[in-house]
Amino acid sequence: MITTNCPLPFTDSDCVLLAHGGGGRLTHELISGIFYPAFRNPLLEQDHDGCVFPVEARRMACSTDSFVVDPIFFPGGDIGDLAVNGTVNDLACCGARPLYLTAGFILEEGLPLSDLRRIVGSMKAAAERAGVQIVAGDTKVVERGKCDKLFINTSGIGVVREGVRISPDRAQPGDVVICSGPIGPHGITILSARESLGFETNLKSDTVSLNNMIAGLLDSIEDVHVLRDPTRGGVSGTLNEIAQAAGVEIILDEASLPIPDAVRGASEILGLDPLYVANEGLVLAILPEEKADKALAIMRNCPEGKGAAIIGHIAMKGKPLVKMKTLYGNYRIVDMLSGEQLPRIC
Amino acid sequence: MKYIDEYRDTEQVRSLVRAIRKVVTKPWHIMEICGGQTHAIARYRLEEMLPEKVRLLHGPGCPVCVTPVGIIDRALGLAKRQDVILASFGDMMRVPGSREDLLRAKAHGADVRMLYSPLDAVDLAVRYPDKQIVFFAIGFETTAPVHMMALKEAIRRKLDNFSLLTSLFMVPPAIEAILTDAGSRVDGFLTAGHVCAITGNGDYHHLAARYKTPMVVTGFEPADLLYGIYRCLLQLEAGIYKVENAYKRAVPEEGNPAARALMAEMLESCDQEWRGIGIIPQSGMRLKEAFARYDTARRFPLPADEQPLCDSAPSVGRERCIAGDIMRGIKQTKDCPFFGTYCTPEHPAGAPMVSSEGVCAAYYKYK
Amino acid sequence: MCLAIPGKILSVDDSIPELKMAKVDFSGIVKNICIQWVDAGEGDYVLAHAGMAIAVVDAEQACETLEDLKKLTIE
Repeated sequence: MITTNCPLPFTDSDCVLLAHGGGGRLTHELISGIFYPAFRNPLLEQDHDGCVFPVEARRMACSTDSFVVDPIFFPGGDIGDLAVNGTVNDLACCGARPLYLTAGFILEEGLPLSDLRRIVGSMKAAAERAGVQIVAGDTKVVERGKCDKLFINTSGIGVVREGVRISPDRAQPGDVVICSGPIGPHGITILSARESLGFETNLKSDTVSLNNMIAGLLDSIEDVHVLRDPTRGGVSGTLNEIAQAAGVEIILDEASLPIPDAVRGASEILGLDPLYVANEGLVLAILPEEKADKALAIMRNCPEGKGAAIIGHIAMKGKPLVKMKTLYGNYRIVDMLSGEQLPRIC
Repeated sequence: MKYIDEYRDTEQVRSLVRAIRKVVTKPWHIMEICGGQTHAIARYRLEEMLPEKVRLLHGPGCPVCVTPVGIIDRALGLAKRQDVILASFGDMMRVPGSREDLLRAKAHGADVRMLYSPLDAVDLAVRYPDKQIVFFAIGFETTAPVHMMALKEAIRRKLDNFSLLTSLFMVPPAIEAILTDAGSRVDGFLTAGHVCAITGNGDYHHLAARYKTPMVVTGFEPADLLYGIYRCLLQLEAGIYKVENAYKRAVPEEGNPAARALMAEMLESCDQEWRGIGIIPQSGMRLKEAFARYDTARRFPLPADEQPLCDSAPSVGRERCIAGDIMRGIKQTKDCPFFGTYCTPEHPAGAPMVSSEGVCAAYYKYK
Repeated sequence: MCLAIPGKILSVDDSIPELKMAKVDFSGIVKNICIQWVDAGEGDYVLAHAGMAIAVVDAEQACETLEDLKKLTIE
C-alpha cells in the first residue's frame, strides 16, 4: 500500500544524533532529560550562559582535565566517575576544598543514550560523594569516527584555607613519602579490558575522590608539604616531577611498596613496571617524618586510605633524583618513563 | 608469586653473594646472552654485589635489538599499505627503522596492532578477512616455535590472509661467533634458560667441549642468575668446562620435543644479519619452501623504489657507535661516546638501546 | 630475551585437539594460554611465553635447587 503521508522526522532515538548537538529541540531534550535531572542544583538552574556564585575566600584553586579513557566502562568505574574524581583530586592535592565543577561533553554520533545516562549517573554519584556541584556544562556532538564514543572535560574550582600551603617544591629533607593505598590497580584494570592484551582479573579501578581524606589530613596536620595524585606516569613519574620541582633526592624503599599480587602478576607477564602504571584513587603525601604516624592514622581511618604506608623519604637537597633501595640493599635510579610503557616479550 | 618470590629472597641472594666471594681467586669475564637476564641484572644491580674480579659482559641476547634495520623498514613499508594490518609485540613498536618506527607509522594512519601473542594475530585474520594480516615475527628459539604454532593454526583454519615477516635468530651460532672473535674476553657463558627450555642443551655440549668454555643454563630471577654465575665460577676456578643446568625447574635436558619438532618441520637455517654485528653464517631461521606463501617476504616482493638502506653503525664526527663491540663483549656500555647523550631510549642510535632489553637501554633505565 | 612467567593452570579446554588451551592464573590475573606442547593439567605450573606454555615447572627440581641454595647458606 502506498501512503501519501509526508513522513515525520523521528523525535525519539536510542542513540546520540548530530541533532543532539544542534542547539534545537533534541539538544534541549538531552539537557532536560539527562543532564539536569542528574546534576540538578540552583546554580546550574540559573539557565544562563554561565554560572554566577558567591565566594568568600582569599585563595582559590582551579584545575582542568580531559578524559578519553578506552574502554568507557571498566571494572570499578567508568569515564564519568573518573572525570569527576580526577578534577576533584587535582583540586584536593592543591590543598583546596573542591566546590564546583563544570562538565564538557564531546559525544560521538551513535553513542547509545543508555550509555550516556549511565555515565551521567556515575558523575552524579561521584559528585555527591565528593560534595561538589556541577554548575555548568556543554555538549557537542561530532560525526561518527571523529571521537571515540565520548570525551569528557571537567574543570573545577575550590577554596584554599588560610595557612595551607601545598606545593611540589616544598618537599624537603626530613620528610617522608606516604602512599595512600595499593599501587597500580587502575592502570592494570584498563589494560585488562583492552582486547589486544585481554586477561581476566578481579582487580578493580581504584577511582575514588580523595578530598574528604585529604581534608582530614589538612585539618589535623599543619605542615603537609606536598600532595600529588600519581595518575599518568605513575608513582615514578609523579615523584620525579616532585624531585625536579624541589631539587631533592627521593629514596623509595622497594620492600615497602604496596603492590597487590594481581598487579605484580600482570606486570610480570606483560613486562611492565608497576611504578609507571596509572592510578586514579591514590595520593602521595609528603610531610615531616614526626607527623607520619598521625597522618597514617588519619588516612587509614578512611576507606580510600586503608592501605596507607610510608614508601620512602626525602634524602637531601641536591641533584633532583628518585632512587630506590632494592630488596638487596643497593640503590637504583627510578627514572621518568621514556615514551609510553609497552608490554614486552623479551 | 610461586616460583618467582623464592628466587628473589633477600637472604638467598646474600648467601649466594657470599658463596661467590669465597670461590673467586682470579679475574673472570662471564657473558649472559639473554635480554631478560641483562634486564634483571641491571634492575637488581647484581653486578655491584659481585666481587671486583668477576665482570659480567652482556651479549646480543635481545631479538628486538638485533633485528636488522632493513626488515624493520620492510615492516614499515607494509604497514602503510591500505590492505595490511601489521601486528607485533609491544617491544617492536618503538624500534627505529632507517626513517621512523611503527608507533609513528601508526600515528600517520597505518593499521598497526600490538599483541601479546602471535596466536592473537590468527584471530585478527578471522576478524578481518578483507585485510592481509602480517605478523612481524621476531625472536630467538623460544619465540620461533610460537610463531610456527600461530601459522599452523592459521593453516588449520584455512586462512589465506595471514603471513609472517620473520626475523628469527639462533643463540649457539652467536656464541660460536663470539668465541671465535679474536677480541673476545669471555671466559664462561650463562645460557638463556628459556631458549634452552625449547632447544634443550645439545648444541651447548658441543660448544663447551670445542671451545673449552663453561656453559651454565641459567634462569631469570636474582638468585637464579647468581646461582648460574656461581656454578660457572666453580667450573672456571677448577679448570673444567661443561654444560651445567642451574635452571632445572624449567629446563629438561632435551628441551621441549613438541616445539622442536614444529621448528624442524617448518623452519630451516639461513645466514642472518644481526643489527650492530653483521651477518653470522647459519644463525637465523626462515620458513621452508613448503610454507613460502605464508612468508611475508616472499609473498609481497619488495617494490623497486623501496630497497632497504644498508645498516651502518651510526657515527657523529669521528666517533662511531660501538654497539657491535659491546654485544660481542669487547667493549662496555660505559665506553661508548654516545651513551646517554646522542643515544638515548627516546632516540636510540645503536642496537642495544632500541629495546628495554638491550644492555644500553637497561643501563640507561637503571643507571 | 624471552619473558616467560610461571602460572598455575586453573582449567583445560581441549575441544580443539590441535590447539589445547588452558586458563592460567598468574597470581590474580588469568590468561588463556596454549598448552599444546606440554603434558600438564589442572594445578600444574607452566612457564608461559607469548601465549604458549613452553615448559611445565618441575616442582621436584625446584625444591632441589632451593635445597642446593640452602646448603650454600650453611657452608
